[in-house]
Amino acid sequence: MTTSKQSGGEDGGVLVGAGLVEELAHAVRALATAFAADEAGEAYLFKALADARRSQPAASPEQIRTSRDYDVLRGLLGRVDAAKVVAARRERDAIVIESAIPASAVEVVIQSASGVVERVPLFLGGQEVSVGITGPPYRLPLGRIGPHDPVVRLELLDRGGALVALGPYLPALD
Amino acid sequence: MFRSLANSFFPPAPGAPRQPQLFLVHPAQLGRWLEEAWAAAGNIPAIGGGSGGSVQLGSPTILTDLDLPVGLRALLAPGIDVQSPGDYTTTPTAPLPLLWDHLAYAYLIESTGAYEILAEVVRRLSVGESLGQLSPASVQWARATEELFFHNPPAFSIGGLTSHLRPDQRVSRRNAYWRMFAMDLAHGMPRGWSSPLGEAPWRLDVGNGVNATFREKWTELLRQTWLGFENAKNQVGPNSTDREYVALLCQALDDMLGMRRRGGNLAREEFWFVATMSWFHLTVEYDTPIVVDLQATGTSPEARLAKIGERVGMLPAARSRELFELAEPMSALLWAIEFGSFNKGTDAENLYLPLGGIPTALNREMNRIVDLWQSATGERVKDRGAVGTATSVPTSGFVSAQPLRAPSPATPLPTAPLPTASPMSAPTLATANGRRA
Repeated sequence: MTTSKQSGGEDGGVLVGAGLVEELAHAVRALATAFAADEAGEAYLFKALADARRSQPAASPEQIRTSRDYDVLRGLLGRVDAAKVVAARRERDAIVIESAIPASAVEVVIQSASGVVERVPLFLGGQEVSVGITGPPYRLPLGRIGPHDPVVRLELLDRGGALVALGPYLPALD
Repeated sequence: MFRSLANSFFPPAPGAPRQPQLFLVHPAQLGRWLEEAWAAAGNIPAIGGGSGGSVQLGSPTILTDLDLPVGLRALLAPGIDVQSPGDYTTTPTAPLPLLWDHLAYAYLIESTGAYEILAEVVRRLSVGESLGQLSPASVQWARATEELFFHNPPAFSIGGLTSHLRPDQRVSRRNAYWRMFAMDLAHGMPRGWSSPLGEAPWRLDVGNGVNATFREKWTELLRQTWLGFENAKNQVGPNSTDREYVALLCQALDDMLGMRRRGGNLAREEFWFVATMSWFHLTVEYDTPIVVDLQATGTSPEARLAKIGERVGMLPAARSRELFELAEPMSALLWAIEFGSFNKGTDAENLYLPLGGIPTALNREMNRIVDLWQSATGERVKDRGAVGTATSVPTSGFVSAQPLRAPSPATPLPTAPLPTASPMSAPTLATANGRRA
């Protein structure tokens, strides 16, 4: 290795020998190569994961129903991290939820014994569907489920479709 | 049940402790609330193959057969005020759907020794001052605990299972566990207890009403679902998972448990025993006033229970951590099985397959059950090759992942009297617990 010159160049930096420069350049090139290879490896990994995710079969309706049933069951059993239960009653053309509902709930899905499903948005254009009241009770109008059709499922969903609250079975009105 | 009620005071965020206000409610109101909770099971929505408005209790009318008439229930409303627990409110509420935990929950919580240890706490508080001074909230807890669980129940209440015909609730609970699961508690009866009917009176006169093969089928279910977990992401190579076999096991368990429930059998017992154990579970679930007063604060129910046990010279179960953690998921899974949620192969595979690649709550809880059951019992359900019931060794040397015979529903016990074995030799879930140190 050649002897370095005296330190203290015009800008105060340290002068180094040519051999050391060559070693440093070689090291930097090696690092760059390793980094590129690592990135390529990571990129490949991410692509493989994405491909694997895409290759997972889409959930069937039965799978979704079974999974949702279990979530409902956990809510009924009072699990802390499950959907909460809400009290509700029935009127001839509406369902009235009397409990406070989670702030994340945006839609109510009502299923009748005859298989009719109604979806009622909770917040429409920033305003509550319930008439002029903030907080419970929430009056949800029914258009397709008649009073003689029992309500077998009452689910409150968030924006992602996850169950956040559930209501009771509501028998038919006499 | 009481843990569900505790939620309603200030519904906690996941991981946050429940508030202690429940223990400030008068026991008369709590007793009345149980009448409401019994009836609330009739409000549950449709699950599995059900149509809603009923629960799988072996009889479509058992809830209404045993509940208070609506008018009388309204007249004697519990009036629990969640804003002010010591008060009474007359604000009526619309129907709420609730379901109590499975009898397995009661078995697992009682297996920890929590009942016996806290019973000793209440006894010592009532006869002396060996446990120190209590705060007002703890005094209320002690009073409510003694009134609700160690006192003759109110006449005509849904929890009125103590009578001259079955005077000992410990025996009644063991009878229910034996009939439903053919499993005994690992700990014996309290010191000084004796029965003219022998060591295990809870096994007498049960007839054929014992699910003698419950544990065998249950562990096989765990084994097969673990196979499913292992193979869930296989893209190539053999996959020994058999979802139809898993469905057969679930169906066999469903049938077996349903046999014990025919005509509404064990419904009221299950309700009351679960309510009982949920109270004791709630007591140690977080740093409640009685836990604080006994200097038994901790970071987990088993830690608190162990410290309380030290104060009264008793030991909890060696695997009480696993038992506490297993109670909720096992209860939910057994209920789902009884609702028929997994009786078809396409449904059964949801136990171990993620939904569109994303693990569900069901997946996570099933996985957890396998881990905790293995740890609590020492049964290596994750080991390969332990299939057990093949009747002959295959000459090919290839061991099937599933047994030779498909599982059958409830197998009746022989009607001959049982041999005089010690109750401790029956299959138990934990090493001796609730015993004197």
